[in-house]
Amino acid sequence: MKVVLSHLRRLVDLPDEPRAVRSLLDDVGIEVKRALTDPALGVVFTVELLANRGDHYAYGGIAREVHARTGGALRLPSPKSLPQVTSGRARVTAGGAACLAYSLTPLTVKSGTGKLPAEVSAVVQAAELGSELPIVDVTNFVNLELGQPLHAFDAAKVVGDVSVRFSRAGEMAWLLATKEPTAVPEGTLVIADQEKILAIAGVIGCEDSAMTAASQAVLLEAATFDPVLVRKASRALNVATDAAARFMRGGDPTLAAVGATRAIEILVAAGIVAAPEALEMAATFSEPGRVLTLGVASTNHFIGAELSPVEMIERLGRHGFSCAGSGDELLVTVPPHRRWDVEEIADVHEELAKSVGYGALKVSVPVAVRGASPSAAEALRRSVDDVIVGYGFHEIFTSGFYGRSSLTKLELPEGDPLLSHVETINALDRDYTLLKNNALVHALETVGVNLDVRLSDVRAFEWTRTFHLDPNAENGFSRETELFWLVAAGAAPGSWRSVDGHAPLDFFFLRGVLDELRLATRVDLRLDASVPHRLDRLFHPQRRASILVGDAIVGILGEPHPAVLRGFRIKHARPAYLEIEWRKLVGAAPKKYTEPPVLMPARRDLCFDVPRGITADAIVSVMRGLAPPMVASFDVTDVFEDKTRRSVTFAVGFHGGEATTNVAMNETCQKFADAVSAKWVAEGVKLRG
Amino acid sequence: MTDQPENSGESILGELRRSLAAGVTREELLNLRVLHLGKKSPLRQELRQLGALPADQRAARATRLNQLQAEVEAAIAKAEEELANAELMSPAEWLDGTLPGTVPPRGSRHPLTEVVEKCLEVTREFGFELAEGPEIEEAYFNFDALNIDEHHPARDMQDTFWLPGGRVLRTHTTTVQARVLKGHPPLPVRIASPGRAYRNEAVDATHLAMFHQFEGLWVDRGLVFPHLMGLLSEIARRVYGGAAKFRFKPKYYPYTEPSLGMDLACTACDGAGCAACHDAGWLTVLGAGMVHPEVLREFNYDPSEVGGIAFGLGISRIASQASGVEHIKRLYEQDLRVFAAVRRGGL
Repeated sequence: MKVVLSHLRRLVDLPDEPRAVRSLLDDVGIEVKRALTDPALGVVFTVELLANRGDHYAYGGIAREVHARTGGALRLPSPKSLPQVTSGRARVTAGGAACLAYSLTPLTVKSGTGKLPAEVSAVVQAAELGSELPIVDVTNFVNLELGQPLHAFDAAKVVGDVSVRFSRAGEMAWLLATKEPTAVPEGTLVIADQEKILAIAGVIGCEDSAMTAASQAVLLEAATFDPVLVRKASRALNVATDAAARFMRGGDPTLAAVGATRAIEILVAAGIVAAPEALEMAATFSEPGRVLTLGVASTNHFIGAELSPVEMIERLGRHGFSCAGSGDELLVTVPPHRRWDVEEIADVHEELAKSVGYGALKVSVPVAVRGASPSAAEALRRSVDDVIVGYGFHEIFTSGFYGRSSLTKLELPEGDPLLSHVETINALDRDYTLLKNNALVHALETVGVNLDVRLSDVRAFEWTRTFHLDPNAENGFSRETELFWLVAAGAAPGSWRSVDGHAPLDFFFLRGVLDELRLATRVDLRLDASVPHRLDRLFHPQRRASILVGDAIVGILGEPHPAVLRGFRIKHARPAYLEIEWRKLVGAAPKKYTEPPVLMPARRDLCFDVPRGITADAIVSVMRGLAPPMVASFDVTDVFEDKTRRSVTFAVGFHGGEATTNVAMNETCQKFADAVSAKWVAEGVKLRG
Repeated sequence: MTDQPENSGESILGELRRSLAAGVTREELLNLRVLHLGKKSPLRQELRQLGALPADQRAARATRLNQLQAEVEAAIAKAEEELANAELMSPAEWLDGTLPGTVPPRGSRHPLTEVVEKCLEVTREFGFELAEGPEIEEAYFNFDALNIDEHHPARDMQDTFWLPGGRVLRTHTTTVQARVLKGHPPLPVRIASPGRAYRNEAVDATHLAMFHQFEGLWVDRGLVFPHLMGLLSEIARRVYGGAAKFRFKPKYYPYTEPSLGMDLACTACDGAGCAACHDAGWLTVLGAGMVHPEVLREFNYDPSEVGGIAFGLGISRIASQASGVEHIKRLYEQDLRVFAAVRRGGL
């Protein structure tokens, strides 16, 4: 809302300096987002109002809030009241609290071009609501000044009596500023004459009853409608107006007559309409206000103040509350303009706290008996982070969504399970329709983005979630998988002292990270290429493996499929990707310490010719099955590959000890060599040299 | 030598000093050591012959020889040290310390993660434990349980991604608080819930559909409004540093009453207003309040006996300030140069 400082100053005492006014408004919860000095209007504040305070949506409401805080003089307009009559053209037939007050007063137009007071024009202009019609300008002004929306119908276009009623099935309304009638949902609160809908109550008027410069007579409407009904109508018709914003936050049902009177006063003074004899009221609000019991001592304790009963009464009075009692217990009556948001004593506590000022209340740090420790899950995440960051990866955050265009890059065939997504049904941006069911898309986008800017070292990771339709899930709808992923592409920069140059950021780089993660998490993560993973289709068939803990699949490590890389326009790199469902790692075994051997260990190397397709793990598995207790370890120390041959060298480690003789080690290695050769006779596996 | 022990000793020492003064190599120094302190050196020979001296001369002679030996050793040691120092200063030993180090550079945790960790560290001291919840949420936990009924204006404050079956993408992590309270755990309840939240907004240069929140909840007997402000002051002091300047102001949240916002004074103008803060002077960094009685009742707590403190930190903004990345959206992009630059911090 735009607020012209000079007009606000007319209604309440304010500091001289605009900056001090700004601070004061902030202090009472009316946040000034911007302050501009307009050559014609002077200082204009753009303020953000509290969403529950319908009364704030007007200069008068803001002035009252300032008055409640400072006690400075409040000068709300008090137009000379007109006699009220209940006879007239309007009837309220909608039941319940749909329409708490309704006035429809005929006015005769004397001049369509009368000059309005400067402050009226300034306020309307600042709100960018100025029109060619002075009567419309005045209705807007009164809404802005007092918070009472008004509407003027062209009396000549209204047929017969007017009723405030619920719409019927099939009814149409030609809303203002639209080209054709709109279907009105049944049960919408409307203003109608004998033939048509004149307005959607509290939301918008209609073209076929709108006043024009030629209107000779108008019907001035002032009313208070049920906030929920206004909100429903506004949403159903997708129409947002200042009046609706005001009504849906709760109008003051005693303000209808005041607002109408204020508008008539201005219009009559400007010579635009003739003075009417009376206001015609079809519904008048007369309910007693809600009464709440306020404990003085308990309130002071709760808000951190030391107010006497008299001070409380005085401060609440500034907010419009009336109080009875004088001891420790006060009976507080909620004024009509606060009937929507003050429902219990906590609301009154807030008013008193505000009247003192939050900065002037006592502050007390609560005492916690004991602190908390990081949970096992937090500790695990920290360990994983330390490893990943230590290996040069930067953490990023991507969205929970991807667009359909990203999905097409995966080149998934029709019917593929990865095409099934949790979908939003009302996304304003179509890129936010699909909740991601895999993280590879964002990982490859990350690679692409960074290769495009000529980054040769791409190492990124993310903690994220994927979303999966799952009728068997706890909520009967979807399941969320918590995972972290890493992607590596290019090469790690070598140093000027490097011997072998740059280290490729490939499958084996991530394999190394995985090994370190295994140590850091104390979870026996292992790779098994023979176990399928749900993302297999997206990976190179010979360069991927599932990551397992026991028999449970917890992730995947591999190179994305070349076709997928093409989809992401990644041409000169073969990224590697790793993801792990980290929740499955929580609850790791405690660390165990093994004393290093006192006796010197020994080692023998075994180099096998191994054709492609037979893994190092498979060979180690055969040897491990035959290993006597003196064997301590198997390590791959060298791999030789060319177009025709491939050999792998294993270092067999032996514990030092009396049994570890040269003869025994040699015999053991021979047994290993024989067994390995025998197992893959057909494939030609044999010991070299 | 036995006949002229004094002169002989002086002669040895003098000869040695002359040799050293002329400058020696490490090999020559070794030869000098052997010559003057070796088994066959005159000094050692004399020491071996001490027993043959008359008793009345033996002690004085032994003292003199030991003294002489010590002086020779000292002279050689000094020469060794000078030689070592000279070698260290040779061109071969020169090192260009301005060349880059060879440790592979570390990566980095995201600035948001760093902020979350900091907030968790601070809140843990007050006994807050981490609590997490789903991002696909029942409308009940996102709205109704938090005093936001179907037609509440606050639903407009939180443009919502709706999913089939009346579910939503959570618009705030306050949903975690609702889920925890639904289980009606024993008091005190102290939880911290960082995480992603979503708003259905048209995405532009400054708006994102996803952002991060960090929320805290403390439900206990005897909690009052001054506790809320005290706790928030302490958290803010720890997160932003003791010199930071804050103020409280009224705010509205449907699930708290009274509600407040905490503003941080612009670090450039200390709240006076300047171009850097668009003349605002202050920046809202936190929203909070006493848990609304209606929320407590929803979860079967009696608000006349039990109170609650709830707060939410705008961690994106904190991360933006801490990292120096002015446009928060940059922190949600995948440009690794940004994070490398944040880690370097201008170095």
